[in-house]
Amino acid sequence: MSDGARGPLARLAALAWSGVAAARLAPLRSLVTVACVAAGLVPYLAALGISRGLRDDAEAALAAAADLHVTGLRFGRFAPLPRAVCAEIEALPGVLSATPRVVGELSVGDDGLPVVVIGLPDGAAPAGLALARGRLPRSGGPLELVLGAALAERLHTDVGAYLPPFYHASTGERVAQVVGVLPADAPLWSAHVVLTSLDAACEMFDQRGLVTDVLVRVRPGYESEAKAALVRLPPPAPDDPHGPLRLRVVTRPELLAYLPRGVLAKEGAFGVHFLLAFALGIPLVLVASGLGLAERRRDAGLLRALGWGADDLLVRNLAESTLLCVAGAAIALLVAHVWLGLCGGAGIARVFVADADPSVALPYRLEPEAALVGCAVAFAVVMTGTLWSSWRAVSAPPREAMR
Amino acid sequence: MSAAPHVVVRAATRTHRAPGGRVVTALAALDLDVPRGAFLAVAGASGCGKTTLLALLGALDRPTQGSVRIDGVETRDASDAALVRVRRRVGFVFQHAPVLRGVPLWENVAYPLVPLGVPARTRRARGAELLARVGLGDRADDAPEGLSGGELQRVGVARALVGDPALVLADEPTSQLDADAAGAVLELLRGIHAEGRTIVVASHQPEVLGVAGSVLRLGAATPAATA
Repeated sequence: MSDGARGPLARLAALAWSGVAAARLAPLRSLVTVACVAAGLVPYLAALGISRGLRDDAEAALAAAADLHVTGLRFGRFAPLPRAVCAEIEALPGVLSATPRVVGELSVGDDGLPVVVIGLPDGAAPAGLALARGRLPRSGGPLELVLGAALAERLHTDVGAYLPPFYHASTGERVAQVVGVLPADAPLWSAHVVLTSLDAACEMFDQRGLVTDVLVRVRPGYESEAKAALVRLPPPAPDDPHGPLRLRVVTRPELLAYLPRGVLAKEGAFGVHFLLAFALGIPLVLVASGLGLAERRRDAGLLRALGWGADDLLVRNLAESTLLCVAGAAIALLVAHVWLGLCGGAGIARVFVADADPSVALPYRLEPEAALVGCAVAFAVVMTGTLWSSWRAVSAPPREAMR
Repeated sequence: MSAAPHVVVRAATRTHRAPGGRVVTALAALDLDVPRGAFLAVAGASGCGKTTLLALLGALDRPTQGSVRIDGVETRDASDAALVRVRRRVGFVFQHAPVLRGVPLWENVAYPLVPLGVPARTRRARGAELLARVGLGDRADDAPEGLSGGELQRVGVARALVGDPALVLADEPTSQLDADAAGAVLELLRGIHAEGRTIVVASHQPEVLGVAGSVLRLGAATPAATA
């Protein structure tokens, strides 16, 4: 019959649509296949989402960071710098400012919660730093702290509250007052941070006159020149009994390149896991495609007896597999979103952030491109897994297939 | 009506290899001409090769020896694509009335039109029209699961007609049906024949043989025969 018959595109569309509709004819097989695809994709998408989120956070932090980051090296390892080096740095051509900073780790609270202490001179807080409540700490008076939102919550404290001494120093310990709290939606690095004045931080670590690094701002275009001048500076603290220090200078673009490296390595590990999962997925899909195989074979035989060609049936199967892959990928994307958004990436977050606090919202970014790549791989797997059964179904003579 | 026979079978033999490796002859050296517009019944005991012959006449199978020519197409040497084209010109009513489960009746009837690119609306109309013709017009949207054997066979007849074939083959179409249902199916086949189509029915039931214009009897010895 040719009444109403249309061109090749309409024929393809009709065949494809029949394949889409065929997915409901074998619901168990369709469900198992979609579940296999989703199970393989979810960890990959979640890992990729966290990785991208962390990179976004790091890049945003670095975008507001100094032009040059100076640290001390002794025996090739990081060592504190004398605070006086800032004056030498500021005297170099092109340098606008040299801000000393202390970054270290302490533990607070009864359960020894690890926190990152950041000490900065008054007025040197990062541009754009906003507080949820309170104000920035000041030096010269009582010990004042600004806490990350998660930390304040864990310590059940807020602006105005006092914290008992949580560090040991040769000059004795002081009670600290919380004067500010960072916003809950601030980047992940700030969740467990304690921001204080430079002097207070030096006191907490019992390292008076020393800083962990210096943040240097230079005139636009002076980055290379300033870096070269910094490297040529005479070693600071030449009389130090522990030996001379060398300066390590890293530019902002170099930092941008370094920081995501760890995250990328973990992302790569998940890429390998993803491939392994799909290698395992092929036999699973094979098993799934075996569900109702006899019926599918009989249906294929019937359709061939009714005038369907082998290529028509393959197009139909292709459309069916595509639908199952797209459904699996869409479900995987949804589950990954729920896993990361509502469950905080429980179970996977620690792979990327070792001391991840479940109460802290993990930054993540789910990209459609990743889902598309996953979908394409899933498609390849499903096609590989169903190829044998499809081919068997369409290659048998119709009379045999119908038995 | 052209004088050239619809189907020409010459010395057609079909053998199968049984699981033990033994070669079984399902049909041996059959000669047969099926003229256009004929109503031929193929009779014989079970296992005499009726179904094998119909499969050869419907291009569902190829002879291992000899020749089967359908509308001038020699099926033994034909490509798969050529066999597909032949099948599209032949309507086939199967013994057990196989259907696609979970698919509405109209869609089951019109499924052969999908690879032709016939739009869904046209397919639906055609499916409903043919279902009405076999007395199932009010069940076009039903799934086949709830249908009786006789109703399913009527769906099978409707599906065989969807491509408007000149040749309709029916393999034991009434063997699973009670007398009323069998009578309804036979009446349908008679009506189809009255439209000028060629009908070949395989059956061992006297009622069916009585409707046919000529009868080909296949015996254990598979004699050469002409209708």
